[in-house]
Amino acid sequence: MRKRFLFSLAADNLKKNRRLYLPFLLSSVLSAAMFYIICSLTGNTGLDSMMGADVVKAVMQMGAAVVAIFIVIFLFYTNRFLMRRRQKEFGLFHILGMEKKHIAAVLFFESGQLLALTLLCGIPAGILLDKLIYLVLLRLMGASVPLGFSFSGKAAALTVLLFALTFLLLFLRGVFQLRAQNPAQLLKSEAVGEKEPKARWFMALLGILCLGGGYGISLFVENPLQVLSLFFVAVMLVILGTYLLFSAGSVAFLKLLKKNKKYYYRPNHFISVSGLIYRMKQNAVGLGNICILSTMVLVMLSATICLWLGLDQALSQQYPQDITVLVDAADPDIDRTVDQCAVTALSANGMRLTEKNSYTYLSFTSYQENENTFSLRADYSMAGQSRTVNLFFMTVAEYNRWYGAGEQLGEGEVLACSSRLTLPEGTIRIAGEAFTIRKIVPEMPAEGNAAMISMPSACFAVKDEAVLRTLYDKQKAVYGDNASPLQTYYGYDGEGSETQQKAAAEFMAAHLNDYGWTADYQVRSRVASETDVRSLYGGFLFLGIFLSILFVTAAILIIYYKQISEGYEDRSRFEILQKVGMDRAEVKKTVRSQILLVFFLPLLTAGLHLTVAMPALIRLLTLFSLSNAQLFVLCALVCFAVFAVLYFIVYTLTAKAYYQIVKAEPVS
Amino acid sequence: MAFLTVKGVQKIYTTRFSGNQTEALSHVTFSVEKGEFVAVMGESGSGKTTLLNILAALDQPTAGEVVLDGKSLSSLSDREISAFRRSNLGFVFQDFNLLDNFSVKDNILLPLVLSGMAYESMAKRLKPVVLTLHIADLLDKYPYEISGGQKQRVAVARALITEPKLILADEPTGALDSKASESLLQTFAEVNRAGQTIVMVTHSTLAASYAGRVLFIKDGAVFHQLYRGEKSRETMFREISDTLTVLTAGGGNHA
Repeated sequence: MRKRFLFSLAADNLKKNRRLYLPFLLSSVLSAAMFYIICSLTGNTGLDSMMGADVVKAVMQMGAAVVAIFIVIFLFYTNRFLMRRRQKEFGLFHILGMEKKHIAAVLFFESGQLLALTLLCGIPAGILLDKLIYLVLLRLMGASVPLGFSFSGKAAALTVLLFALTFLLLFLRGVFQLRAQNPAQLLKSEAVGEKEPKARWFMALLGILCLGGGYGISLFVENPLQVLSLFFVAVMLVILGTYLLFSAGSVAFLKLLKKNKKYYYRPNHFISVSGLIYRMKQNAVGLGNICILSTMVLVMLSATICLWLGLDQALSQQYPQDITVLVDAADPDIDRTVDQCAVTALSANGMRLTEKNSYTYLSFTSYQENENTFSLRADYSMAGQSRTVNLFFMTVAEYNRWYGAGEQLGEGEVLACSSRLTLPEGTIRIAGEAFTIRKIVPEMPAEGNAAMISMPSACFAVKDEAVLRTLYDKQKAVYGDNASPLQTYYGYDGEGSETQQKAAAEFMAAHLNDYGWTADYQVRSRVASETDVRSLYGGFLFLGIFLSILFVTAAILIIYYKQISEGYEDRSRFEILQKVGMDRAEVKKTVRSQILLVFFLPLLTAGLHLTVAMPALIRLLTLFSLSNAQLFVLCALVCFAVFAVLYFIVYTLTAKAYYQIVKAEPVS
Repeated sequence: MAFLTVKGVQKIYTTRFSGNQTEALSHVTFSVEKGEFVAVMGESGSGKTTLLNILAALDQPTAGEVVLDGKSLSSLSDREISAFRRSNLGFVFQDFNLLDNFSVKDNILLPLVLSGMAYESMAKRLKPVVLTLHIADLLDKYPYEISGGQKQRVAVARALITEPKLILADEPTGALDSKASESLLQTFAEVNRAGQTIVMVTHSTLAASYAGRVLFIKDGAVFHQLYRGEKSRETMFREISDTLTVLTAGGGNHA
């Protein structure tokens, strides 16, 4: 047969079946747009100028991979539904004298045309949408965000690659199905229900294992850097587990319902339960998709919103005072000159000193041998390992001065504090020295510094400066050139405008050298960093909202697509039901209870995923100097509530559309 | 008063676009007694299906009245019609209209479930019905796993299980081979002997020959009717086919 004929036959088929193909095309176009946008964001040069760009990029790449996998599953799912509807047509072609290879050729051209349409519409749509959402969000946030608009050739190429591969696979699956059946089977295959799946225990077990693994990573990995590296694995495990449990679990669940005769043989249960069993596999994938998209949205939104809201807290932790000076020395003479310089700097800029504070501290990393032993190890590759702990020491006198407390310590006693480690009662050994923990205190001034470091940390107040010096010597002996110096913190508050604050800090940075000492020092201004941090977190928030809009759109689309396409399938069922005496009100009730079940399972599962993901997310957020678990839980709850409302609206609309389709008049 | 009375029923369709009017039924009058098995015959386009839809309350007549067991169908509100249909009428369709997502058993129970009956009572009713129809061993199968004849028996079981006053059958043998047809019709006759009233629309002479009375419809009106009386089925078959010859040859009105 001539190629051109097959090509135009393929085009004709698509046109004839447009009611079937339009939703498929729409979803593949939107998937393409979505994938393009994510790839282009990942490669966006604007990201490089953001602080913490590495982490953002890592997260985005992870996101792109998840979306790619998701798209493949989604297209397979929608396409499978299409192919089932078309089997009869292929059977007819076959009977009319086309060989299987010709049908395969038609299928090939159809796939090619669909692919071309998808890419030709999808990529431009992606470019436009990219720009549009960007502008809208910029408006909404009223902040400048370091992300520009650009066309990304690499993103376009990746999109083409992903979709070409997916469509090739779809085509191959179509050919495979064609080969497996004879024309008579093809002709009637539409009517044949999916075989009632057996409750598959192996799948269910595997699903539980996957989910357990993913959940385990979130619940039990404590080091934030490890969480970051394992997060992708956890996400994958949870996705896989969700799909497996949805397919195997839903079978078991529905069968259980069916076995309960009192429940099953009620008008609306009877029809919805049997309808769900009939399409179990399709449903499982569809519900899994909805669940995973919802989870992604919830996770991203709560994390980025929490970061944005926690900004002030993170700032005041990192910068307890307006101007902070850190000097690598512990020397009373230097103390005097720094104070002097601060007074000069403030008054030179028309400000008055309102408060000053200082303390000497020592901070070094150690290896946690067991619960109460922290030892020194010279190999520096240990950063990032879960047993590396950052230790921080100050004297109890300065602790008392900072908090206005009156703690007394005996020989070898310490006060201790840690936000991420549980410290044992009693004796601990640090660098070979034995200490007794007299009391666990809620916070120490250095916690703010520790929060910036991504590894776990423990803070101690020791008896006097002599202990500090002993510890300093111990770690100096092991770490040599890499050893930490004794450092002194000086903090100053002064009332003044943003410009005055910045000028005073700059003045100090320039003039501290004038006093004739040589220790290294750094000067930080809270207002100056606030601008940087605000734009960084604004960037995160932007990404979070942007991707959420994308994913919510996709989820709504799937829900809608699922209900509409099933509506057409169910139409004849409801026609028959009305013929045997079901009235309109009953149809409506049945539809509602059926859709209710389909809708709220994914939402609840997404809620569960979010809950379990919380520990991991809270740890990840410490990488961005945010350690406020309550705030995160609150953000997550609010996000979930808002999402649930949105979800409910979509549910109502979909139920209505579905009902419109199935209610159609019974017979003439 | 007869069990089912059809009085001067007329049905006019107006086509949606041109507004042309087509008269599907001009003036149909007949009545059916309790326990009768009546076949309605006529060529395609004679208005058989329209008549059946009106009897089933699936469609409203333009003029005239249908009274079943003393109740006029046109007096029922939309809401009552479904319930009425469910409790008084049983349907058997040419294309079976079984639901693929229900097992045979559930298909049969469907109308009872819809009317909210308790499971125990349903199970009690199911047994005798499936025995009469010889489908007891098919209960756990699905419609796509059984033959056409078996499907139609299931459909009949679904119609019988509500213990309806009237069974309406629309070309029940239309999609069956001759062997399955005969066996189904024997079942109909058997059910009828047990007291069930049946009205069947068909254009198969064989199917009609099982009935106690045959009504012939031509151009939207009852044209002739034949009573079986004591006649054998073979005689009935011959007389029906003679009448049909006259009918198609375009004879006068004998009714």
